[in-house]
Amino acid sequence: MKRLAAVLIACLTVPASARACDPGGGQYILRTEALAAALSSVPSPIEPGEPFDLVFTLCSRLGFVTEVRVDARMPAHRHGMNYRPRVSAQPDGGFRAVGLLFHMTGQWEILIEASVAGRSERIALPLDIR
Amino acid sequence: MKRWLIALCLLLPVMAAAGSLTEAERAALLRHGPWPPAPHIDPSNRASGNPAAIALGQMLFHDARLSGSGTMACAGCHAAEKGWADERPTAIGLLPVDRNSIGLVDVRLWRWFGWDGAMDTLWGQSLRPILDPREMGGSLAGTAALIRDDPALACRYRAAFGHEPSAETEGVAVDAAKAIAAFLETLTSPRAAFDDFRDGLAANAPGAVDAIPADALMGAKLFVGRGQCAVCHLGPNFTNREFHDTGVPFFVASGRVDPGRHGGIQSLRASRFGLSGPFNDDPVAAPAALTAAVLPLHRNWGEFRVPSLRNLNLTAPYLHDGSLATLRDVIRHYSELDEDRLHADGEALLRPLRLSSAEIDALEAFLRLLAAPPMVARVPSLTTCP
Repeated sequence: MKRLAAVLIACLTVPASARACDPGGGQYILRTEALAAALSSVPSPIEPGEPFDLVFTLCSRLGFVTEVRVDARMPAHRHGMNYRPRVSAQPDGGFRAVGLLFHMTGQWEILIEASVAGRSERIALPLDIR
Repeated sequence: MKRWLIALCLLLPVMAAAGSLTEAERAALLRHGPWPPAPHIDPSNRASGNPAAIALGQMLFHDARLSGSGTMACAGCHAAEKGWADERPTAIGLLPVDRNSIGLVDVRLWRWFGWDGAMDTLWGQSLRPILDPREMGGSLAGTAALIRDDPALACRYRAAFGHEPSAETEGVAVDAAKAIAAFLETLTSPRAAFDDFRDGLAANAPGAVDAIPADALMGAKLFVGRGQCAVCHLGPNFTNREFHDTGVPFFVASGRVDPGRHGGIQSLRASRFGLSGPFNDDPVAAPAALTAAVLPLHRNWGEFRVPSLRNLNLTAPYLHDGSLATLRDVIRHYSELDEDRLHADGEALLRPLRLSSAEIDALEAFLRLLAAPPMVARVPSLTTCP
């Protein structure tokens, strides 16, 4: 958590209040108390040992979403990726994270972190990579 | 007779367990193919796939004049009959080197080059040993001068690149490295017994499971199962193309350590001959995104590349420091892994497997399904030019 916070990937702002908190469509739809996200990988499916991008939309009913960061980890192995993805805002209001790679097979967790109304919020996508 | 009975008793559990594959095991084994992969042109290298450049590269690979002393060719440490590696534990160029000469077969499939991934282009990696004073001790100027001044090489250069070698030294030397890379891209593992077994499984061929010896089938089950080998040795080339700490001591001499991937990332960032440098021929340079995202971590200390498992019969000794003489030694290393030598913040996957003698035999039998026949180099004549 501390390392994720230190690894600031981007400082981006989404005017969440300007639209309803409907993240739209994607391969995966995630919701927490604070965040909603729709994610897709490019290419799909994610192959172990092969780089991929993550295309996603993110919104919150609680306020502005800022400082969007993406990381991933293998909880059982106590490590993350060998790469630090870069997140950029897209013209359609969504985001694209480039530079992701799952270097082992097994249980991974993609983490999207963002600041909402001054608080750090996280949404996680568990994936079984074979 | 008594000895035979004892041997049979030891083998019975192996043979009984090897009789079938679960659906999960079958699916895992299918992911190690098909082989070979489709041909691929390297967009960062305009000489990639160019027959004239391949011929030039093949000549240069065997040409000792690229070295500072005129005595050391690339082929000196990368011999075809040794799987394009050599038989020494650690290489000896003009001076001793800390690491084992890595086999170059299927190098076109790599993402990072060298044991530490210090380069992200095959052509950049082809230049690196030429310039390293411990290996060939050559220079950019010497490489460019050789291309310009040797009529046969200059002729081949014109055929490969469509113009005379220019006065721009760095560019000509990089072109020479790109030609060597184009040649190295042609070194491909032949199909192995494993590939026939795997394709038989894929086709649901009758008797596919029985097409390999019982001990090799038991080894296959261990490889994708309890051994967890396939977690990192994945895909058709049996590697994730990344780096791990496998409990090998860091020290290469008293008071001196091999930093492994950690040093490799520093070298990568300092080099002009990678995807992010001025010699990348790919206008899109999409793979450079991964180079930009590579993350230097403390745990990278002592990490080394996960090698392919194909052609292992040709490339002994094993590991980055050549410290293990046989395949059986490698399997024993993982069986009796010294956890005290692993990073405290490193991989939680690696634990001693505590394999039985029969299981070690089985894993070795499985790995030998990936064996290749002896390879032969064809050295082109320097006297002819199209």
